[in-house]
Amino acid sequence: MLEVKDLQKSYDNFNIAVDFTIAKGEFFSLLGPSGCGKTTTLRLIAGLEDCDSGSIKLSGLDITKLPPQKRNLGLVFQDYALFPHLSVTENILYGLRKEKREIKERRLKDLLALFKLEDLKDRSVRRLSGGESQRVALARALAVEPNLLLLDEPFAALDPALRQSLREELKELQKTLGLTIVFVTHNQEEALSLSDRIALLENGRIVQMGTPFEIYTQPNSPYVASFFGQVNLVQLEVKKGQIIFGSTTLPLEVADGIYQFAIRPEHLQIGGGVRGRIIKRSYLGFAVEYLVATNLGELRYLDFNPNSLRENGSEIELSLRKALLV
Amino acid sequence: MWRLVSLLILLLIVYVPLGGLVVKLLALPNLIEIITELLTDPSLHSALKFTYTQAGLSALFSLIIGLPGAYFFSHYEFKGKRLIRNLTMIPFILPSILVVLAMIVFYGQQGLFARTFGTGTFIYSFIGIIFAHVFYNFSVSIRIVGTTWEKLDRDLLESAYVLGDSPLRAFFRIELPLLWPSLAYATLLSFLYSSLSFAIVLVFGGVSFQTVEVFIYTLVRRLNLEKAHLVAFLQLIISFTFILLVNYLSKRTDSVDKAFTLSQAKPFNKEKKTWLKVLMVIYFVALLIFYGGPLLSLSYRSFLTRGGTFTLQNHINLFSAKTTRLLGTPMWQVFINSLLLAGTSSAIAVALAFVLARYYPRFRPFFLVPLGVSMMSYGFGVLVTMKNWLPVPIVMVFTQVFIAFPVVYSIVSLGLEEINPEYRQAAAVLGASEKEIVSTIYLPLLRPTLNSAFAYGLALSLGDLSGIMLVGEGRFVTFTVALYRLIGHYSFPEGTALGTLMSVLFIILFVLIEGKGEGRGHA
Repeated sequence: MLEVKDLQKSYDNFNIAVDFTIAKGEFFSLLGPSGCGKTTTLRLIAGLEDCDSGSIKLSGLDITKLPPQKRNLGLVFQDYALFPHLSVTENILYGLRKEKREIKERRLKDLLALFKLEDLKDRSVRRLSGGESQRVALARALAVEPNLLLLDEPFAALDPALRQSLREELKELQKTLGLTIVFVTHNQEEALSLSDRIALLENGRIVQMGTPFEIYTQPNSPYVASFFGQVNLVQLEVKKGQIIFGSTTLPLEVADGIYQFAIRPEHLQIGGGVRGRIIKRSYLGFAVEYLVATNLGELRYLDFNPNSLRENGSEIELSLRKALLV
Repeated sequence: MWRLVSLLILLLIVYVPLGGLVVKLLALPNLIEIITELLTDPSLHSALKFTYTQAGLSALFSLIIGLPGAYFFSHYEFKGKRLIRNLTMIPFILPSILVVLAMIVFYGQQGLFARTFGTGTFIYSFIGIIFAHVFYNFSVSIRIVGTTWEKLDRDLLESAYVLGDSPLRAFFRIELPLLWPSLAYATLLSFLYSSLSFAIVLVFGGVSFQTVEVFIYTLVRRLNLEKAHLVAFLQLIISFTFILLVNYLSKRTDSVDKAFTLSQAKPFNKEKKTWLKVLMVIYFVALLIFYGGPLLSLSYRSFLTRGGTFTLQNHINLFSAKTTRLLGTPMWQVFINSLLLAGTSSAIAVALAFVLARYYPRFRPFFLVPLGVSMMSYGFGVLVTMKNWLPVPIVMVFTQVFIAFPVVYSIVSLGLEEINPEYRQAAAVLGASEKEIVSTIYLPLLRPTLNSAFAYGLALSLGDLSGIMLVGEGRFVTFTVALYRLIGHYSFPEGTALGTLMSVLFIILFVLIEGKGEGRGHA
């Protein structure tokens, strides 16, 4: 569907080099911190920036040199960029200037119904709430029946409560309409819950690409591991196929030596292993997070079944359920 | 206490003369007679017709000339952009009489332009007047339209591109509809300034062309005071209508703000095409020749003898007995008069503006009224209300405060709005009294703003000719009056010398005004 091959773009002190392919109907996320190049990648696909080298193919057609007008894409900006001098209807129909009247009317009717915007169709977009604006922006982008929908942080401008429900709506919409989506976000939770595949970017490069499950459970670097939540990075010795964690061990088939492991707070549990002392405690409601000083360094541990709270300064012993070799 | 006193002083300066103008007019015994006489007076008809025709054309051409500049400045980054942009703003603050002289020196019969191209002179004509008004106002268009354009959210255009619009089509479907309030605002402002024009028309218009301003001045000179009174009133009503319009449009400009919040500093267009670069260079070079030429040749000529060799004699002659005789006042006195009057008036305007903007923010439209009131209408109001019982110097200061106040007020109140109110609240919670808050929070933070407002007020007052001529009755000579007299007596060498000194002064003032841009980040 979309083939991005050796796409490169350099700036004064930053350059982007990415390579990926997206299948039809796939929800693909470009994830990374701000300044990692994810939005620029999206703009390159949209044709709003020119690339230095490489190629972009959409449905087999080379669009690398095409101006944005000719690419037939849908794009939703973070702030939606609704045209403030036009009404909801005029915004939605903006891209259908050349279409016949019947087509416009039918498309409008369908989109208004799909996005539950019937009551707002004559309203000025200046008087829409955040969620309504987002729906209008999506309707406007989909009105031209684009081959590919590009979304640039479409939830960032919304308050958290609304985000959750709109996220579900978007996923629903993508499934029903069979949309192919490139989704840019810096929010790992959004990416994990929505995507079929995620590409994690750092400094203009894709550092890991895979399904949410793969990328969470098999991070290929400390960067990837720590991008998805808190993680303890520790050096542990592996001997005869066993990771040594204090007095306990965990099997792992690698050659003997010292390796770096990423251990998520929930991968630790109470039990004989490494002794430590609690130096900090945060009550999170669904769990308690402890910071424990051990001879391996300070470890974060999440207790999901707190029968009681442990006091700061009290002794604790932790063992290992799982460790990710990074 | 101070607040109320400031409010009263402003009322006295602004509204007593304007109110007096109206009240005294109604009290005239033969009012109906004068009105009928005036309304059938063909010279009034032609003055009105000329005033608004030329103002309309001037505004239109100011927009046409300014628009490419607004486009280039808002859409492209290029070397020296800041400098060029600042240079285009200089004509706007120059005294109109100085512009008149510069144009004579460059485009006049003996001017560099006329001689180089063998065109003869065109300035003493309708076209010349419009040319001079465009000189003044194209920078207004550049600034007003350019700044709104620059802030236009790029995402809107990019959305239009992705939805299939060519840049040209997007211009008509997105940019133009969103820009029109600011286009209208800029045009109306140019229209207002051009319709109130005095010095340019006085010199270039001769007997054939008179704006209403010049018409009133002539009537006063001929001591036809009742008629002058009525025309001043008429002009007041017309200006008021325009101010209301300007006010409405400036609100409209703000109200589409949603389109004008630039999220990130994205360049507008990706790259400059060669033909665009060529157009840009042609445009700026043309501006430099047509509008920079007069100012440059003014200074150049001031250092030349009639024979064309270098000399400082012209500058020295400014202080000669001959010049003193001609002006009626020695040049050193002219310097002192000008600086003292402008300095005092501007300082008063800044102080009033600060207090009124701080404590009476709701009266804002009411404070901006002087912006559109003609100096002649106001000056005439001063003549009929306070000239007889207040000493001339004080009345002179009043007229200058009147000129400086609206702009100074706008700058100061904008600066105040930019100060986060939480600073004041934090200081109050920490136990500071209002007086301490003003001296420890507002004044230090507003320092650059106040400096720039003061410099602006100084420039406006130093540039005034009509108010000083009307109220000062020719006995009080400032830079502008001196320059007007030198031009009137064809003393062009001394005129260019004085003009050069004034240009230097105004460029210094301009740097002070613009300097505020640097300090802005702190407040």
